[in-house]
Amino acid sequence: MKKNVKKIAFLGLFVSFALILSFLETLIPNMIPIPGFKLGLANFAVLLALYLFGIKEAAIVDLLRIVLAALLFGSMFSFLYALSGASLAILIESLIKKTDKFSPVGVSIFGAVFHNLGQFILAVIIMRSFGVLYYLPFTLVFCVLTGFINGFLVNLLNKRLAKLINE
Amino acid sequence: MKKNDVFLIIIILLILVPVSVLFLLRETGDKVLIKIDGKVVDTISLKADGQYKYETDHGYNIVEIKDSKVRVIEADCPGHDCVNKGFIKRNNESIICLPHRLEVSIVSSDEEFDIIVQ
Repeated sequence: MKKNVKKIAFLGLFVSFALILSFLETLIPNMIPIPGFKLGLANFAVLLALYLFGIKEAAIVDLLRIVLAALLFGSMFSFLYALSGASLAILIESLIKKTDKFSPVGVSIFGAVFHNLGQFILAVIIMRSFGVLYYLPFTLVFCVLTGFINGFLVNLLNKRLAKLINE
Repeated sequence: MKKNDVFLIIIILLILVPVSVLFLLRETGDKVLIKIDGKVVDTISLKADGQYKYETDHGYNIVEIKDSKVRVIEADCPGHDCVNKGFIKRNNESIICLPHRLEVSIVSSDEEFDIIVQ
């Protein structure tokens, strides 16, 4: 029971944390002409939830973040884009994590790459044109960087927080 | 970090950095291609300075050509990502307005034919 309460409290914290990161991202000018293209800092909170609790909890944190972010400072389009990227990213992250061949850094980079791929695929479908793919290499270079930072932070916090939760 | 992480980062960067640099060094194009919903609706020379308005089913975009560069200066889409993108001038660069399904891209004259055929 006590553990369950702790879990709910932590998940609430993660959602609010992810939301703050999402908001900070909207303040950074968009270099890439795709609505919903973000650096992906919010994925840090989602990844932490994945490591501490599991895919179900991570998906809940991510979905709540996306819905709240779209309502607060996004649009219908940013919602769809975030959703297409995030669902693919979470799936890939949990699969890669299961193989146990990568640390959170690798898992995070895989997630970031597939988050972008998901968004680009949706953009190609909506535009019925491959023109948008011109920007894929740049976005992927950026996302490797943020993926690395996210993974590194999760690596640092994961064990400490796990101790706190399982106390 | 595990060894695999390092390999992953190195492999991704080895592939992407040269490709990105190649893209950035592309030569400037000379034609502007306007597509709405995947269909080419207009081709304009990059030297034809002026403002061009396009009405789509979802709203309008005003495209400006100036000094061999092109940008979207006005649109009634919600995010204004197309306007914020600013000027483009290199081959294959594009400005995309997703809400309106409008794409402004740059091609060189000899490439234009291929793109229309596609």
